[in-house]
Amino acid sequence: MHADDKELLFQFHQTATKEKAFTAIIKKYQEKLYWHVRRLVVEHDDANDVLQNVFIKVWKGLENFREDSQLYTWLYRIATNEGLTFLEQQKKRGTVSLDTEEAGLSNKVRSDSNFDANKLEWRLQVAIQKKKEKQRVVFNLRYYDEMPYQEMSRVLDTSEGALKASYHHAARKIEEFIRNY
Amino acid sequence: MNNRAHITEELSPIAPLVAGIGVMELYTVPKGYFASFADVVAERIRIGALLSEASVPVYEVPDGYFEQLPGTILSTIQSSTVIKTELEEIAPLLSTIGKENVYEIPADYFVQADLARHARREQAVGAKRVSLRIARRWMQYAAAAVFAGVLITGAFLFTDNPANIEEGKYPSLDLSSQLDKVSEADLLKYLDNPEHVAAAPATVQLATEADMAEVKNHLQNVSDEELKQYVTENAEVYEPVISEKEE
Repeated sequence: MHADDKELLFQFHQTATKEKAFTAIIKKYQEKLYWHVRRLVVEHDDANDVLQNVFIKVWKGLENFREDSQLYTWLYRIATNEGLTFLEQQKKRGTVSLDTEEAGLSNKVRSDSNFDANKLEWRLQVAIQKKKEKQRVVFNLRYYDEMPYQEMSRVLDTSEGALKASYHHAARKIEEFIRNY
Repeated sequence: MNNRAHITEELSPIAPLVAGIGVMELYTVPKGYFASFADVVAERIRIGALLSEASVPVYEVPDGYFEQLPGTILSTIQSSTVIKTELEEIAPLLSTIGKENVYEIPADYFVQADLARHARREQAVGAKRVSLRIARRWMQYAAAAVFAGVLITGAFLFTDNPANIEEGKYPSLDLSSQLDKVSEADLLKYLDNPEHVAAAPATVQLATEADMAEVKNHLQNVSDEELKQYVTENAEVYEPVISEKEE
């Protein structure tokens, strides 16, 4: 059972319990954030690098964290930005082609050792990776993380209406892709 | 945040197939990854802190070192004078002896050494390079000038060739004898045409010159005083003309 965010933040601000509280924050959110990042960057090593950077940023920024917003919203925001920055860097390095970033990511899905084209779950992953990154984030946050639009609006700094439209559009396109796969 | 039912309900009308797939993690994670992740991050943070500490300079400079440095350098420069003064005081004879070198070296030692050094440098740098660019450019200019000269001369010779005038066709004409043959009626008819009159400015010019000669003769009889007076009297007449022009 994880401690309450407020309690963890209080302990973090005490010198004696700072590191212990930080470790507790990592343990509480690491899996949620890992899967969020993993669905964005696909490969484990990349997800691991991004996640470590996320928590190092959290360590540096937690001192100034404004407690008027929820901790998990703030963590998702950092994780999303780090994931997208990582993809952007990959584009610049030429690891993933600028024109076919989505194709590159869906190929990564296909190259997973457990990939099975007959399974709908895998087809869904391929379809998601075919979408533009912002739509991908919106779909994942809603579909997998079951995040309310209100929270998502804080994470992505986008209006709820725009997020709903984006999610609906993405869901339709993904469905269409799976049917024609 | 457990609202899977709500998510499925929302998705069913727009993407029923996706709504029915269900949420299941397909990707795998190395065994024990999440158990050790917090320690890995903590370690990285510790290393980062150590590295940032390491970037702080470890050497120390004595207090006021940089303020005193210019003075120290100057005193070092002046110390050579101090040595001379000191020697004059403690060993006046030594101070009078020159510092010429008493040791001998093989003849041309430094010349040889200098030549060897020069040769090594030449070898390293390679042979001196002479740029042909300027010479080539001058050759191009000269060729262009010759070509232009040939063109201009050829054009001149072609257009100004007196041989083109067929002199045989135009034997020397005696105009006055030819005019004598023309009847007076034809001449009057010719002069009556205004185009022919307009095309004869030389005649007008001749008449003007004759007039000028007449005026000259006339003025020869006028004294200088009379001319000055004429100019003075008529100066007012010309001034406005001049001023108008100036405006």
